[in-house]
Amino acid sequence: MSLLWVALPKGRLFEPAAALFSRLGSRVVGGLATSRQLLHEDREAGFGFVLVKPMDVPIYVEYGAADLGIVGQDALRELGRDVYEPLRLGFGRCRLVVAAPASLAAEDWSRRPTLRVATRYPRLARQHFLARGLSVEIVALAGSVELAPRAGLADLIVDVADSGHTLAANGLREIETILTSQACLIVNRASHKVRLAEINSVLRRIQDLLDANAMTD
Amino acid sequence: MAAHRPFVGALPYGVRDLFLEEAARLTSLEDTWRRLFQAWGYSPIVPPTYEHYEVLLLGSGVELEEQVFRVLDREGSILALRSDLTTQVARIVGTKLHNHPLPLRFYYLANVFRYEEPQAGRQREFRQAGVELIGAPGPEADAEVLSLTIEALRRAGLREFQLNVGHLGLFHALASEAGLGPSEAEAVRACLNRKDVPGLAEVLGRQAENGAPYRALLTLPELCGGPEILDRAASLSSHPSARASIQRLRAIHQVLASRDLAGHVIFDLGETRGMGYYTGIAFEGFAPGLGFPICSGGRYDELISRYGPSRPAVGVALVTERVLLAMDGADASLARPDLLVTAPVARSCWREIERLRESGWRVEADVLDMSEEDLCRIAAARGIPCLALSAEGDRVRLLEQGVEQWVPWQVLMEGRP
Repeated sequence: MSLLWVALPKGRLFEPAAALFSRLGSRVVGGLATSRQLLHEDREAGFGFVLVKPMDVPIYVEYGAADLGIVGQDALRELGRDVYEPLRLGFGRCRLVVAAPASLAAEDWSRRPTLRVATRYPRLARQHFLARGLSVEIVALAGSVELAPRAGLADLIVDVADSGHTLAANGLREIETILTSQACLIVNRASHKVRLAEINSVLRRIQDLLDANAMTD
Repeated sequence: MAAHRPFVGALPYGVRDLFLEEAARLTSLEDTWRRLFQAWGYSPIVPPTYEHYEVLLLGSGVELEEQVFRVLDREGSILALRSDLTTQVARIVGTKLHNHPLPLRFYYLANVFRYEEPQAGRQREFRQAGVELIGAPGPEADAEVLSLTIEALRRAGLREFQLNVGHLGLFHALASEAGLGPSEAEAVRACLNRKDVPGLAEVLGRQAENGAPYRALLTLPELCGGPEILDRAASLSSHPSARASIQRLRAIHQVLASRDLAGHVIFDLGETRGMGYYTGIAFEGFAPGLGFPICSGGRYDELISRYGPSRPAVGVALVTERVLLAMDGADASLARPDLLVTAPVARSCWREIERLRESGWRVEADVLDMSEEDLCRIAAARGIPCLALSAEGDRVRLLEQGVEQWVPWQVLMEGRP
């Protein structure tokens, strides 16, 4: 039987994602983050793992380079890739928010003729503002978005808020929530069709784990 | 100015050159399909590459709108490169062939254009091979198109592949029973197409009190499998359109099973994908190891009426280059000549050479006046089995597998290359 390939996100979702697959029988997945090994075949558990950046997970899965993937809904909606998302995993909860310096947050900022918005989510940010008829200039950044207003690069930011500490530490205040997000399991369309029984069995086992967790919570 | 001119070999994003082996693979697959389609009674149809944007949009709908390549002509009209052949066939049938006896059977092997990211063998310009069967409303017509699709994939050398066949009738029946408005139905559809069951439960939350149809919609993603799932589907709704669609799928299954083709078919009622103009069955083909569908098709009973009198129709489009990818490792050899003749032989024996070609020989004539030694080397390098060195009277001096002998032209013509 060939392996089911799983794209796992590096970063804050890795630990809970790896924990999930170790409970599905993989003894090695937990060590992958420190082993610097980005691709691993775990024949014993029947999985292959690739470790990639969170934003790349949906791409690996859409193209079928991985059959399954774990990714936050924030990244999934931003990328808009054509994949299945049959399970929500309950971890990695966060919100995608609009945040502004206190001074701007206090005024009626939506009356400004244009706003410059720094974000790692250019697509969602553009949709959000344009849908309200606001003209915005989107500055797509790769990270440290919360610095942008202080550095004079942007008026507002759109970014994830885990706890709000990072925002507050940078003098930013949340003014709107664009979406709430959690990690979900995604599946390549063709894999889901061609290897339905195997994939359904993995989905069922994960669902059972989630149900058991919910009982103990 | 020269600095702004692209390198003479530059290509725009989304197109590619095919030559030698790769071109031979593509054309040989298309030749195979052309013979197959003709053997089933389909005749070729060759619509133009571009048309009026508005005319195409009338058929293809907003779905493909974003993906259409548009150009302005000098009068300022908007033209569109075709993104789909079915719409063009519908236009031709609706406006020009409404008096023609039915059914009409057409096939095409053509390039289409979509402004999207190239993926899995599909560039922005890609080739489609398809058939359209027009004028037959029943399950036999659906089964014919499915059978022909299976045969086309088999002829391409694919062994493992499956067609996932759904039907839009069940979804529409459940949506109407659940009392979903158009925007809610659209949201439900989007969740179904992502198999996003939690999202589906959220969207349907407000409908929970409607009971049965609500639970049925939540069950849809599980309805994927052999004919047994049709029984389960039948228990979900007594709406006439739901019953008719299940009945249709059963009838199709019966025909395919009687042809021993049912093994390639999976019934998949959990999705509502496909072109906006589909009204009945809708299906996609998948092969192991390829993350994208290799073909898609369906019934479109209302499309032709946008251009003329209404005609029921069903068709399929195979994504030629993806099928080639799925064939992976298939022989990519160029057709070699069977015989290479020297320039003097070509000059003196043109009539004999013509007759050889007519009888099926592939004969290449030297046009560089090369020496016998050079030609021997070239023939060996290119795997050309036979070389005609000189000719006299009705005989030719042949070099074949290292043996030189005089052979009458007549013997060559009678023998197979």
